[in-house]
Amino acid sequence: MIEIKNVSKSYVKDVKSVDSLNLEIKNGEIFGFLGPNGAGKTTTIRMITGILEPDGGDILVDGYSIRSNPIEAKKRFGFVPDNPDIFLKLKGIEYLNFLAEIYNVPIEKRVERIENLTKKFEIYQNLNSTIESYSHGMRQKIVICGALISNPKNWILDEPMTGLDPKSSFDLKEMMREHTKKGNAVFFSTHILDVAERLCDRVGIINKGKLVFVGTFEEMKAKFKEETSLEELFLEITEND
Amino acid sequence: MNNIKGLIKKDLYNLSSYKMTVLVLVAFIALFGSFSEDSIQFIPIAISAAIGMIMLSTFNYDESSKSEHYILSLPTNKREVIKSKYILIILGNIIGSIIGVIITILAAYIVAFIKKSGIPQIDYGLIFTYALGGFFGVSLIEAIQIPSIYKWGAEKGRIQMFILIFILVMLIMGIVYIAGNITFNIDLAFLENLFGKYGVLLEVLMICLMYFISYKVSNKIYKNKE
Repeated sequence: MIEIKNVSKSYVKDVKSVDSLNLEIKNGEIFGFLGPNGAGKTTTIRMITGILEPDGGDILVDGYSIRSNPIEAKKRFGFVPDNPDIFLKLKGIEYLNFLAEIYNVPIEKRVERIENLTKKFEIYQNLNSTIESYSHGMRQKIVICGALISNPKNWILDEPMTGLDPKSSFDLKEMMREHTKKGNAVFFSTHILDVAERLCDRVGIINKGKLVFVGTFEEMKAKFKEETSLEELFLEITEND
Repeated sequence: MNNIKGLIKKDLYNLSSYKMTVLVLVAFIALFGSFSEDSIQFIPIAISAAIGMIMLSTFNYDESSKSEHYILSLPTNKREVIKSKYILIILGNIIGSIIGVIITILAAYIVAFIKKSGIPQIDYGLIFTYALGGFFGVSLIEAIQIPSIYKWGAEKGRIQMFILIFILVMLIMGIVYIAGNITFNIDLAFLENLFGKYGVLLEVLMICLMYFISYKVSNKIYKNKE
């Protein structure tokens, strides 16, 4: 469970990139975070994951504050950043071992999880190659495997489908569903509205740093125009704000 | 502690691509150092300096792999990130110095064997002094450079390193020049006695102090960095 309580962030004085954001991602739900470019999605995700310090407010991950108890909070989520071009000089197996070490995953479980995850994403054979030799999609896959190696309760994924082939994208979506069925939470940002509609239990739409809608797609349609397409609804919400 | 171990492991994985470079570099230094009995003494300095500089390249890896932000999303904090770097770099310097001493002794035996001059008369005390001197020099450069890398980044930090070395060389030349032209009323016997008795201890204390100040400054810089 992730609770975002009155969180704000400014990069420039008097311009709030995220303005008094309140949000709750409940256990057992897939929550989609939508918004146009520069709306504050990545800034919000960076604050949830402890990369950025909020100017005000707090974020709790399973009850642990990212501000006052960051290490305990960070142990409770796995994070996939928007750009998978990280640790390019490491081999796939080295990257996963490094993360397993940081998350204190016991050796036996580490071996088992690495094998399961990488076979699922079909990169098992590439583990001994450096990440820089991977394609964009393979890099995305290894980063996802890394995020899941500690078997975290909460998944935070920033544009996770970008670069994935259809099968891997399908597998990831299935994994997200299975994960939430077990009572865990998935928070992910996406630009692909169809994916959000089919996958998410609830969505939040952020625009100019402010949360302009939270709820189910049914609620969104009921609030706005019943017959309008999702794309049109999204544009109406974000442009009229 | 596990976090620090993991971070060090990540840097060691990155450095593993330097295996061949280190071997070639050590062989090169050993070869050129063995040309004369005098130059052999400089092997430990050169090797510890080379390995120390290679250790600093982990900052470049972090910067080029854009991993700095990502690391902060892992169950660690800025203090541990900095601590892991200092531990890695100090360990690298120690290992570099030990390798330097071993290679120097081996080089002395090889030179003696080639010249057929029998068992070489090795001044272990002198080799140790040179190794410690190399350690001190590398530590001084690193202690200044690490905070500046945290402040300006690894790329600009590299330029800064060359400026620093230039300043140090100029400073040493200036001191040598002044010392050669001005008559000081210094009790040289006292100084010789002091360094003879406590030189190693003083040098080790200085190294500890340099790294401690450097660590504190790095912490302060990185803490306020977004």
